Amino acid sequence: MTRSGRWLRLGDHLLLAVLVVVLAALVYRVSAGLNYNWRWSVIARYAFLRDPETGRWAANTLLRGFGTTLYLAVSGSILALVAGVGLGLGRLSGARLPRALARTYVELVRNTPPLVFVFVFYFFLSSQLQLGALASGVVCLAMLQSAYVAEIVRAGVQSVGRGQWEAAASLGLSRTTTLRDIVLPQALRRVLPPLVNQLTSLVKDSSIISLISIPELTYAASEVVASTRAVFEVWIFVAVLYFVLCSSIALLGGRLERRLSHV
Amino acid sequence: MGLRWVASLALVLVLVSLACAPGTSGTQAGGGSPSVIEEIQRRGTMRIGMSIFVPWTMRGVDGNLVGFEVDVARRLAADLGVEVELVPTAWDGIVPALLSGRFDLIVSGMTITTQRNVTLNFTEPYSYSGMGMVSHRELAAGLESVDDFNRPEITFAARRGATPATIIARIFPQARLLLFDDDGAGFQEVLNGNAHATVSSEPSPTFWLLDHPEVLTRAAGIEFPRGAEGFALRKGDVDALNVFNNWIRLRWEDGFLEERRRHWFETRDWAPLVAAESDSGASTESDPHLEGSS
Repeated sequence: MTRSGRWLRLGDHLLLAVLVVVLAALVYRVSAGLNYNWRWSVIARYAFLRDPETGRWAANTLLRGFGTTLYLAVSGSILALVAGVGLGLGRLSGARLPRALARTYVELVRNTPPLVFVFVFYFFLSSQLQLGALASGVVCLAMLQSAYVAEIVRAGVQSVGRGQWEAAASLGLSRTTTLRDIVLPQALRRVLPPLVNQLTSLVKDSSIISLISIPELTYAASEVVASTRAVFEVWIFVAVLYFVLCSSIALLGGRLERRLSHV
Repeated sequence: MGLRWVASLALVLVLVSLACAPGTSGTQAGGGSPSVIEEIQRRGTMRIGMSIFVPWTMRGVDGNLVGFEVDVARRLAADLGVEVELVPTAWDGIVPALLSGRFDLIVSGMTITTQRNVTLNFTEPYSYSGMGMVSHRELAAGLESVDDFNRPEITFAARRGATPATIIARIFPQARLLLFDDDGAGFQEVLNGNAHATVSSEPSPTFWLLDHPEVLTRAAGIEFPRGAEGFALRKGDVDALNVFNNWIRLRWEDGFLEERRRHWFETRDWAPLVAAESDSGASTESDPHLEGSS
């Protein structure tokens, strides 16, 4: 490893100095050029709510929105993983029809803008299927993400050498057994980092669902902004919440990765 | 491979559109289908689509919706003897959401225009709105008339898809127009000096002027057409239109609409409800620019 040596080199000092100057200039510009009355109390008032009867504190609009985003993230991830693994294996299938169907789906979703997909799904399809707003949000998110999960799964399985299949076949193992006991365990370790990446992206993409008025974090924030005009406070707070959520997913993913590498 | 792939894609698209076709035509209540009024009675709940717009509909600090229209919606439901479910909806998707049956009607400060009327039915007006323009004191110094503002170097900011944006494009075709999701963002652009002026429905422009007299001003020589707002319904529902029209007439006659309008549009007694910028509760009745409706 070449990580040793002095912590800061000569060039690093220069880089740091430039960064500090740029940041200071930015802060100065914002404070001088922005005619804005900062009201951070708005965040507190729209994050927490005191029940006038019981005197207990509860989540208000913003944190309730965060709760919905959490729900979307968890249920969307589970659905996307299940559907994505299915689609990914479909793309690897020996039979022609599953392969064609999976490919069509993946290409259809990957090559249309998510925004258009959300609108078409919500206004044309889900109202005919009698899906509730939140349910269509979850399904929509999972459908969008499962196409990417499918590609990750397919690439992971294909990255396991042909020799593994051939060796298993020469031992007389069936295709299913080979896939389950030999190929998938090896593929899992390889697909974990891109999968974690995809789940973080799912959390951030859940903000697209705000367009169909599901009261998740972004939609709740847009309501509070429109009502109070505390534009910057609210969006900064929202960014922090998304950051916390996404970085904890990355942290968990990293831990899981280390555990798997010891197996 | 390539051609076969395109063909299968086309097939899927055709199937999807076929699946949609009967549904979309079915959402417009035709001759035989029951009125939405009967549906509301059967369900016991009226679902009303609303978009956040100060002071029509706002998210209160207690987590509930408050505003002029919330009062209107609650009274309407009470008079019909049903519960009310307020469905907050993004402005961009409010018409498709109504057409696909997500709620029964829109009560969201929607100004009656011929263009909208082609896809929607409007009731008689339950509100009359004026529009106001505020401009940046320094940027727009010396600009007074329509011609002063109707120049390519002038930038306007407004809410996308709302009537003021259409009006700006019509009165000031030469000027540049920036569009935002809510009118607060357009106002902030003027405050920051990124746009010369913004136009919005009263009383917001008057409130902005009162809050930032040192930055904002109002060009005296510019008049805007007045707007009238109605409930919006899916097309072809004569029964519902009749019920709502007569409800609106009755509420004008007994003074309910006028009294609520005064409360929300001519005072700021409600400012603490939404943690507004100046929740001093100052009355703006003395301001000559804030014209009421009749």
